[in-house]
Amino acid sequence: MRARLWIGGAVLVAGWLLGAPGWTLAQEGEGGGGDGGGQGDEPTAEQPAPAPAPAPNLSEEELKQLEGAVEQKVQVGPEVFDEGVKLFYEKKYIGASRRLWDYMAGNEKGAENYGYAEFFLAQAFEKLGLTHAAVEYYYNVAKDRTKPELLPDALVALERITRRYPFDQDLVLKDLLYDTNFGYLREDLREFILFYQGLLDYRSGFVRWGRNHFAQLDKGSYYYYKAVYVEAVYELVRYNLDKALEMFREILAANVKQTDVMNNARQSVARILFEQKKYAEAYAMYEQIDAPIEKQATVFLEEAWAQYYMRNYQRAMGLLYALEAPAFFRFFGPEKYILKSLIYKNLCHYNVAKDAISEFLQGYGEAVRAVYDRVDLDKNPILLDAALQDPIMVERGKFQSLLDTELNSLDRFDSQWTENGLMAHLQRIYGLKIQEVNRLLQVGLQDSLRRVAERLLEYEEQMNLLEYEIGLSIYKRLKGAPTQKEGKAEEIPYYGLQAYYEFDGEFWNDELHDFRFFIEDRCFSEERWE
Amino acid sequence: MHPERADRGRWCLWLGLTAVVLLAAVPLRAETTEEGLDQGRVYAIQDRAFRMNHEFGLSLGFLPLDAFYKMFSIGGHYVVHFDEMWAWEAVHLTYSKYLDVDTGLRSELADRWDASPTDPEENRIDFALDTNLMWKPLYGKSTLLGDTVIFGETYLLLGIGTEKFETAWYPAINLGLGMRIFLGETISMRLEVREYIHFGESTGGTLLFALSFCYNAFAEDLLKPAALPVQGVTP
Repeated sequence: MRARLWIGGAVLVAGWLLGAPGWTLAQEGEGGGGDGGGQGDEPTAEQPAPAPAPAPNLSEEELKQLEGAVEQKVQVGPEVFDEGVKLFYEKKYIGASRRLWDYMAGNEKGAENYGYAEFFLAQAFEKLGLTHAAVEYYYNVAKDRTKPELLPDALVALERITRRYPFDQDLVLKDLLYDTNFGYLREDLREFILFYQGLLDYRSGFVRWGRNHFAQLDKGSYYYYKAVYVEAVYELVRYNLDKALEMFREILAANVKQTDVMNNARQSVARILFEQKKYAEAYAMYEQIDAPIEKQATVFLEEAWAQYYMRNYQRAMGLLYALEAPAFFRFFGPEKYILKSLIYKNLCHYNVAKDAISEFLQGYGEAVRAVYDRVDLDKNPILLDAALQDPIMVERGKFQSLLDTELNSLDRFDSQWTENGLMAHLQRIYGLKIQEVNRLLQVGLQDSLRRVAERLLEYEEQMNLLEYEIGLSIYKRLKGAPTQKEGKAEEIPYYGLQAYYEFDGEFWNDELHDFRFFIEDRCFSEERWE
Repeated sequence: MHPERADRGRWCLWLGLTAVVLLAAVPLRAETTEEGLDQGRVYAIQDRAFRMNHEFGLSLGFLPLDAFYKMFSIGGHYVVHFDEMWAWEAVHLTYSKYLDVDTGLRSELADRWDASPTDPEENRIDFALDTNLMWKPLYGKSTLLGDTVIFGETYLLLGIGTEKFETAWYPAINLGLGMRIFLGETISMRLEVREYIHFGESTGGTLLFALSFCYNAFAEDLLKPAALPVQGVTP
């Protein structure tokens, strides 16, 4: 059973990294807020993806609009551009955007300052917290290169945004970084581009090309360790555990200043150690993970498995209790009931072991029936919720939330941007992108739902098997003429160096790692009976 | 204060407070019973975040019960903590001479009723010196504004000492109830109430409210409990 957990974990990690949106997960911890423009509510990592709206088909015209094509062409002189730049340097970004847009709307792309206007407009948008709009125009500057001298600055800005915010991966990674030959670039930008080119090679299955790209990275640099992580995950997926372990340990030894990357590496190392049956080492590695508590549901579950195999049922069950905390209320964890039942069974508490199976059916029975009844899986709230927690869906959902937030924040600029059409233009850009992301979410949701349903059926099958084994154990015990257990109550000390807080249903985050389960072992004389 | 002014209600209050502390302490001895054995019981077992060793403190106090004077006090103490339950407050000194505020009652009595107390001066306390046994049955944590976890403990004091009044020394016994809030590994704050009962020619009580700031010396010498085994079942 634990092997399934592992495979699930490996697929999760692989999906996390090699799947389309992988790296931004690793990037979310880096940034603070935007540098002064009023970035709105950034979606958090743990929020599951919102349910997608029905996907529309985009027309040619809409796709053109999405690319930011400018339609109005009323000749506007360079003084408008100058005014826009002046306002920008005076930090009047709303007015600067308005005048720069006036200039762009009144000139062709080949106009003398058009490239500069796009760049300043992108910067103004970024300052105002409109990161997606900024990315669109930085992309134009970097892709068209009508002003080649702006390329490094545009790439720096894109790199900054990709580190801090969810972004349009197709636009930036596929259309720009992967498809473009930038020529000579300074070292830091070269690393940025080489890494993403290598990553996309790996995602596309061009492993040798990917390795070539990664081989050009400077050892010890920020992107070098990200590349090591990609390669380690690739080895992990191929089940080259020793090689993967070596690579993850290289990242840990480097102690890169990115908490989530370090934590992911720790969890990967722990999983490998677990697979190698080094449970104590695996547990010690899990304990080093210092992510926020609400992100540690899988860590708790995997720790519980490690403790179970170490036969420390007290600790294992304590960790399972911790998973009931409100911080994990959306955690899709049918597996915890399997483990709970196993622990009770191993302590010869057969009735409560069966109760754990009932708990599973209570929690997930409806979803299991929905799968058997072949109803639309997205109509079942349990399956839908679990599917939306898929890392790929979460990543897309984060981008969708960002788009929604930024679209709503446009209202703040209504008075200044409506008259010249900038508001309508931005609303079109955001509206079309939201439609596109919704379509991707819809597509991804079906795959995710199918995976969740399959996992659930596996768990149900294991539960049935476990129920049978429990029944068998009860029968064996009955046959062995059971005696009354001479139970001895465990005493909790009056006082001491440790404080014992009896759990009364109220979860304290600082206690979740410290739960212990006190129960007598009723298997004390099994051997004697036999 | 004269014995006839001793308020019976105050004794009831003391008894009540003591009972509350004792009753609250009883569930600390959580024990797995037969009833809980089938489903098991869950405990969060944590190393004590704060432990006291040699405690030095300075305090500000208030003695509210004298009708003629409201007394303020300054004080100090030294406590040696034996373990997490017991400690000995070796020295506790409260000094209140010259720190009194006349309530105006005496002049009011004279002006309105042409009466004067026998000798209110003799009941003005100069200082109290005592030594106490400290029992700390309650230890726990609370959330401050739903955000920060703070740790604290509640203790009872019982001891002997002496009270020096304007006119005489009296032997006294001392009862106290207090709460400590840990502000850091070495700094804590105590809020307490004490009742001194003196004997001799006259018997009476002195109520003292005090706020102390304490320094926990040699805190680093205490054994770090991380490596200690946790009691319980290990199948």
